Formats: sequence, C-alpha cells, structure tokens
Amino acid sequence: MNFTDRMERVKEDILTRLKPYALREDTHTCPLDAASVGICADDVIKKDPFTNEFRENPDAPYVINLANAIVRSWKEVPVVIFRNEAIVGITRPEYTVHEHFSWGIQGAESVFDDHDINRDEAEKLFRRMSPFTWDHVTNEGIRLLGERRYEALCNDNMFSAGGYQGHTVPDYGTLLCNGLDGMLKLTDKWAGVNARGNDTCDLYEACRIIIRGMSEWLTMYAAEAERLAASETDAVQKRFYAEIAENCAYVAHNKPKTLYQAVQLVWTLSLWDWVDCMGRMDQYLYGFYERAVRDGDVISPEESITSIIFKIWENGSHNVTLSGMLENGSDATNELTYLMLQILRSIHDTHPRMTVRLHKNSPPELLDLVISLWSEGMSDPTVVSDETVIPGLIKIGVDPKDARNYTVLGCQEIEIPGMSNTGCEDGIFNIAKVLEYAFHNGKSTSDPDVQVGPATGEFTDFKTFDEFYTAFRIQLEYFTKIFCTLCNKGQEIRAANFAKLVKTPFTAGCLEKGMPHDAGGPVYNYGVVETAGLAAVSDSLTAVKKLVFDEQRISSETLMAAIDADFDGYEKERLMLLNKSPKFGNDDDEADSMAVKVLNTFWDEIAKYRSVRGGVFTGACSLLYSGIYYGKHTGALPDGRFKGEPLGNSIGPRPGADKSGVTAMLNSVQKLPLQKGVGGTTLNVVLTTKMLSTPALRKKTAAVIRSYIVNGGQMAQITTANLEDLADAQCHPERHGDLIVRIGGFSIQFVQLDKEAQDEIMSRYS
Amino acid sequence: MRGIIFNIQRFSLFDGPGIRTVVFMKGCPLHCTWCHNPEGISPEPEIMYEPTMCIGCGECAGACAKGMHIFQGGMHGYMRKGCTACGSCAESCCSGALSLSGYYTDTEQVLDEVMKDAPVFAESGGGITLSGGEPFYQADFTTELAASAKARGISVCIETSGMADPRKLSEAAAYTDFFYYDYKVTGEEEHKRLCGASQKTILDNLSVLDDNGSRVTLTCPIVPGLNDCKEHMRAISHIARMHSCIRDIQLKPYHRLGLSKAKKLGTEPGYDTEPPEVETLEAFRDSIRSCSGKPCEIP
Repeated sequence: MNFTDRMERVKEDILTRLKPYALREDTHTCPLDAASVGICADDVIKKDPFTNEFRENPDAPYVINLANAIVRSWKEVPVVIFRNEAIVGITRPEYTVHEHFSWGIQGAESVFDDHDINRDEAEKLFRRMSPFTWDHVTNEGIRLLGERRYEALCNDNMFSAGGYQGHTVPDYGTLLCNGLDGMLKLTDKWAGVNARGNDTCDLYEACRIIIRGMSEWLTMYAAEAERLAASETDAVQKRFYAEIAENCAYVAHNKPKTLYQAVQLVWTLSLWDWVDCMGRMDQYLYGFYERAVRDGDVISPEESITSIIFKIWENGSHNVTLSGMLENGSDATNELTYLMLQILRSIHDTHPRMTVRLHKNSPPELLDLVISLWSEGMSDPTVVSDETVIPGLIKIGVDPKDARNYTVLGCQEIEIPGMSNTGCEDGIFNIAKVLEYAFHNGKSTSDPDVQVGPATGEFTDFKTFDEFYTAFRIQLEYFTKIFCTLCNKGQEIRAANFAKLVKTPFTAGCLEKGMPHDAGGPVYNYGVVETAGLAAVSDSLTAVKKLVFDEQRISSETLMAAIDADFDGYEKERLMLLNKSPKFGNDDDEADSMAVKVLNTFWDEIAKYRSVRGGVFTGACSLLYSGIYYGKHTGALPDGRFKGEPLGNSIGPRPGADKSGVTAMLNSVQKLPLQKGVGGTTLNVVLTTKMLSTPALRKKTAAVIRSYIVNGGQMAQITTANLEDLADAQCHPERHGDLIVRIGGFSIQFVQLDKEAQDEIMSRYS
Repeated sequence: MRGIIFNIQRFSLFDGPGIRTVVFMKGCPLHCTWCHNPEGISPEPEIMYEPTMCIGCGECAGACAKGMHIFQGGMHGYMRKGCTACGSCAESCCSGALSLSGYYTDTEQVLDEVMKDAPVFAESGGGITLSGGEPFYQADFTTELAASAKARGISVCIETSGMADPRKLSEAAAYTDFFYYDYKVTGEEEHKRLCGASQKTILDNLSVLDDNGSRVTLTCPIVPGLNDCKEHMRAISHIARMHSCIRDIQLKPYHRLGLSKAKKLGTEPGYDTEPPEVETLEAFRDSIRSCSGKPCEIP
C-alpha cells in the first residue's frame, strides 16, 4: 500500500533510528541512551528511579513502592515527540529499565555497588526490593532431591522450570470502553466491594497510582506538544503538534471517541506494559475504525492505524493477532485485518510480528494475501487454526465464548486476551533427557555416580519394548512432578514480587478478585509447558522397538555401547538406526503412532498438576533456540543422532527426516494430540521462494495450508528457502530434507540432487 | 490386480493440476537417450548401487544367497551379471549404498497410499498421476488404477509417451481427466534413432484421444543438440493445431538427473549436455504460442 506523505516521512525516520538496534527482541529499542540525555555511566545507578523510590520511602508497603517506582521511571524519561508522528510516546532508555518483571526488580543488586550507603543498609534495601529471589526455587529443588542430586539434575539440563518473564495481553477493550478515569472508577468500585485488609487496600491503591501515573504522563506529553506547537514555524507541523496536544490531553482522562484517540490510548498502555503483546487489534479497534470512516477524524483512519503499527514495529511488540472468529462463531475478518496486513507488507521487516487466525469459513482472499506476503520472502504472518485451538481451550475449562476470542502472544503462545496469565511459559522440559535416564537406570548424564532419577532397571535387562517404555514413563512421571513443583515455586516468586504490576488493573479478574496479575488475579490461570525433544524421543523409541526388540538386528548391549560411545566405532549401527527404522514426519503410522503415544504420555502427565495461580498445566511446543540448546546437552540417541546435535524444530520432524513431501509431513503432525497443546504448538514449514512464485503455485500452497488448518493442524510458520539454506544443505544434507526445489519440470528435495544439480539450482539465485 | 512400480511421490506440483501424488510405474518400450528416469525402463526390479555411500560393513555379502557381493582388501565388488535383484542385499544395507528399485504391489495398496492426501486433492483440485516408465506398458494395471481412483472421487492424470495399444488407451481414457502426452522428436528415423522405436503409434494415438474427447497437454522435452531446432518447434505447433484433444503445450527442459541414476543401475550412460538456455526456451515457447494458437508454458 502507499502511505501518505506524512507516514512515509515517519517511516523514513524510524528506519534511520532502527539501524543501530538490530535485536529488537531485547525490547530496549529506545531512541535515547543515557549519554544522549546527558547522563554519564556513574550517574546511572544514582538516577535509577526504582532504587531511589524504595530508599526514599522505606516505610511504604512493597507494592506501593513498586507502583510509585514504575510511575516515576516513566515520568523521568524525557518527553520526546518526533516530527510528523501522530501518536506519541517512546520506550524508556536503559537507565530506567530496572523493571520488575519476574524475579523482583532487575538490577536490584546494584545497590551493593553504591558507595554512598553502607553494607547493612544496602542489604536491607536489597531485601526490600527483592522479597523473594531465585533461591526460593533452588531451595525447593534441594529439599526434594538433596543437594548432590539437584546439582546433577541442573547440570544435566533436563528442564528450565519457573518461567520466563511471562507475556500476556492487557484488556485493551475494557480500557477503550472506560478511559483512564473510568478505570479509576472501576478500581474504586471493586475496592469498595473487596477491601478485606491492608494487603488488598494496598493493591487497589497501587492500581490507582499506576492509572493516575498514566494520566499524568499523557498530560506531560500534551504540555510538551503544546510548547512545541507554540514555537513551531512550519504551519503543517504546528498543526500536527496542536493535534497531538489535544489528543493526549483528551485521553489522559476521558474515554476515547475517535480512532485517533483510541490508538493513542492503546499505545500508552502498550508502552507502560513494555510493548508486550497487542492481542486482536483488528477486533477491538474496529468499532472506532468504522466510526472514523463514517464520520471522519482528525487524521485519516489509515494514518491512525499506520501510526500504531509503526510504533509497534519500532519498539518490537511480540505479536498482533488478526481475524479468526467472533464470539458467536462467525468469521471475524474485517477491513482492518487487510489494512494491517498491507501495512505489514509495506514495512517488510522481521517486525512487527503478526498471526492470522484461520478457520473453515475464513475468506479465501485472506489466505491469498497471507501467501502473497510469504511469497515476497516474509515469514510473517504465522497462521493458526481456530478449528484445533478453540475445542482444545474448551477442554481445559475455558468458556466457549472466551475460547473463540483467543489470541496468539509472545512468540507463539496462546491465551484469552485481557483475562489470562498463562505463565507464558512456566517452563521448558526436554523429554529426550528423560529417555537418556531410562537408558541409564536413572543415572545422571553429567555425573554417572549420582542416582538422580528412579532406578528403573538396566536397559540390557529389559525383555520387551513395553518394559522399556514403562521405565521411560516412570522417569517421566517422576521428573514431571518435580518440574511442575519447581515451576510453581518460580510462580510464587513472581506473585510475591507483584511481577508485571502494570497489568493488574488492566486484566479482567484482578480488580474483581482483588488479586494481582501474577497471583491468580486473572480469570484464566492455566500453565504452559514447552516440550523439547519429541521427534528425537519418538524416533528413538521406534528404532529401539523395531531394531532391538522386534527384529533383533541390534543387541541391547551393542545399542548401549554405541550410544555411550557417541557412535564412535558404531557407524554401521548408527546408519541402521537412521535408515532402517521409520521416522516421524513421513505419514508412516508406525513412526507417527509412537510420536502420538509419547506426546500423550507427557501432556496427560503435566495435566495432572495445577499451576499455583490456579488451572491445569497444558502442553506447548514452540521452541526458539531451545531445540539447539537442549540438543547440546543431550547425548547420542538411537534415532542416529550424535551427541550435541539439535533436537528438532518445535513440533516438526527431526530436521531432514521428512522425505515424503510437505503433505505427508503435515499429515504426521495432524495425527498428534494438538488440541492438548493449546499453550501454542508451532510447526515450521520451509518452502522455496520458487514454489510461491506464480499465482498457480500459490493456489496450491493455499490448498495445503487450508487442509492443515481444517484437519487437525495448529500453527504453521512458513519459511521460504534462501540461498544460505541451500549452501548449508550442501554441507549438512541431513538437516535439510525439507528444502524443496524445482528442476526441469518437477519438484524434488534439494538434498537428493547431485552436487552438480545443486550447484545448478543455486546458480539460479544469482 | 498386481503391477510393478518404483516410487510413489506425494506433494508433486508439476504433474497435472493441483497437488498430486505420482505413481511411477516400471517398464517402458522406449529407450530415449536423455531418459531422466532410467530406472523406469526395465519392467523388473533392479539393484541400484552407489559406491561412494558404501561403508564397507560387509552385511550384503552375508545377505546375498548367490554370493554376488564380495569384499577384498576393504573393496566392495558387486557382480550385477548373476544378480537376480531379490533385494536382500538392499534390505541388509544400512548406509543406503544399495537400494532396490521396483516392487510389486496391487491396486488397493497403491490407492491406500494415494488417498492419504485426499483432503489436499479436494482443496487443490489435485489427484493421482500415473507416470513411469510408461504406464501403458502395464496397461491393465493402469486402467484399473485409474478406474479405482475415479471411483474414489479423485482426479486422474496419466503421463504417457503415447506408446500404447489404442484400445487400451481408449479404455483408460474413460477414467482419465488429463493426459500429459509426450512429443519428443520430429521424423520417423530420428525417433527410431533417439527413442528406440517408431513414432507411428504415438502419432496415431493422438487421434484416438481426439475421438475420446480427452484433455491433453502436449509435453515436449527440449534436449540441446538433439531436438532444439525450429523444424521441431514447427512440428509441435502443427500437431497441436491438428488435434482437438490438445489444450496446451508444456516445454520440459533437459536436465542431468538421469545420469547418476543410470550409473547406479549399471546401465548405458544417458545423453549428457548442458540444460537449454532460458532465452532459447522462451523463444521456442513464443513461436509455438503464435503458430499453434494454443497456450504454451515452461513449467
């Protein structure tokens, strides 16, 4: 799409500012650094609004200190309004980001570096700022396992329990309906109903402090815009400033009436929520958009929408979700869906990240547009199936109306927007490590002298595959329990630290119950567990069953010797394991049913435990670097994988193992119990740009995606192969079985080609 | 009914409309010098051997009842002459150096595999494509596969050289939605020399498909140095104009994929040359479009 001149200039400015900030996932994408606002490195500690707030008000309750510190950190940031922009507000520079995410106030230990206070005072201040620390988890681990076993377990890297910072989407809809003053009234109303004692009173007061802080911050922006307008000589820019001043002043208190006001208010909360996730933007903004189209607005509806998408782009929000179903089950696609996708297309960058929800009645034009974006080399948007996700959410107790309103957030997690805290995620669990324990009678892999898991028997003593599977299941049950317990300990830290306090007044359930966002306040509190190692484990078990127990082509002694030696001296056995046993991802029932069995075993097991916030633990699988990270810490396995190799990509097959084409791979994945994986279960699909190059081929791709969406698939991310992938495929063909290329008149796996043919294909890129 | 095939390839995008599953049938009456599927020529199972993949484990020597695999000084010797292609060496081979090309199967088994993609066929308008080899080398099996696929409601495409008994072709045409029909070289002598058989049946059979009201895509391999000449392009256009069954034309550029397979099969090496230039192909395409008045693509 063509941006207006004004938005084109905003875009150019953003591009100039973005250059030094390559990694926007770091969410430190602020156009200012400490030096640029005249603060030297030594001042940073002294300037820290968090430490100062706690220091200056030693008698206030923690949550009040925290709320005031957050407000202070925002108000101390210089007010910056860029030329041409229509909505305003920048992220905080690094020196004020001692934020309170999950583990108390980040950087709180810097009080020990401050030479102006003595050690005792520093210690006291630190305790106040960090009422609970990571020791809370460690102590529980030691209590459960003893020091030596817990240490071995940590060194073995089976899991990471206790969670990441935790994404959620605030309730933008309720904010837009009420405005900030309306939110204050709501807070007062529920405080009146619920004030049970000092703690709840303090929490409601903290909510008021946050909401009022946002109003004050908007008022500061209004004043600055007015000042700039007064001194501006360019008539057009003068008008822009004046409009900003009026807009900010209005939404500082009132509920928005126009789209322009709505996007400024949404951006304000998003910023204070540290540009976490945006939820279903085409839904909660649609009423305002319709009105703007009908009645007109200060700036055009396209400019309003472009403005907020640009802000998200520059500041690295994690996800925008589009389309899907309305509460009544009918299709939710609207003009904003298309408009936002067209803006994304014109930006053509790794951000903003968008997800499109699809169901069997989604309009074909929507999928066509999505595929056009992929064909232009973008990996956004991701697509996700309402047909799989909604029934899965209902099964874990979500109200059907709410289930239809789900959103994708974070990287690829799922929740009900504005009313959930799903931990996001509570932990990552590597089931391949459990398999190693089953092979080694529960012995630690980093220190074989330590019996870290239950003694389930020596592998060479098992007479049948079922005996071995039982050993695997016992190990899995044992460590799932420890894992879930430790996840909850991690959540207790967050609860004690009032993590993500800004979300509390803006998440349905918190005000009503008088409970914070991270302590069971939201309506939905189910937990999310990321699963690593599925393909490696199921392919290994298939190979063990087939080659060791059924066909007895490899003795159990030889198998153990081979994996313990990382296949050194056992290349024949490794190739047999690799080539003579079917692999998940080829629509082969023998291999696929094992994957189904393993995933059911694990996801049914975690569902027996409840998150400390309330609600069951539910499965997820969308690994970023974890497949590589946990692979590094996993030994050789009977799927032919060497020690340290990656563990496969999210829910997909072992890299390169899917040799029967995309449809077979998708069929395999569709057999998995993906409805149980409503924490968010991603499949990465690689297509070459060539395959998306003509309208006829794009239609074929659309058919494959639609079939996946309506027949049990969940999420799919498409990557179009680039030259670097092909080059890597030449060196490591075993990792790239999924690269499909064209030769002559048909398609073929790149890795099946001779070197010459590969060179030929690659030469087409130059 | 039983027949012999050498591959079932799913997610094929260029062998007919939509997304298709291609069944490669073994056995072909022609011997085109540039053949890209040499494993499709013989109607019997064959052993393919790729020495560079052999790790010298010696399992095949133990597996072969005829002693056709020997190891001397770490070197693997395979004597194809006495080999019956029973496949036990391939079964024992872990590295994939030895593989069996071709296996007997039946209509039900093939269709069960093909139907796994039925939902994608429905979404994309795809279906089964019978290819080879030459599907009409096993004409009855081909007809039964086509009829069963039709009975299960999926579209049928047959890729043929046209070397078929006209009655069998007619019979199969009743169940076939699309033919991809090869026209390889122009001139009877040229055809005999390069493809190993007379072209008469092939040309006559196009009229059979005219009579059946079939939909045909004329597929023309373009092999530099053998048929990349204007006369051939004129002949393609002429044939396309003459036959009402021909809806469109596809030019299929030569590629070298068959060479390494011939080596693995131990058969005569195929014709080796550079693939045609894109500009040359586009010029051919344009001239065929204007002379034949029918669509012509380079897929």
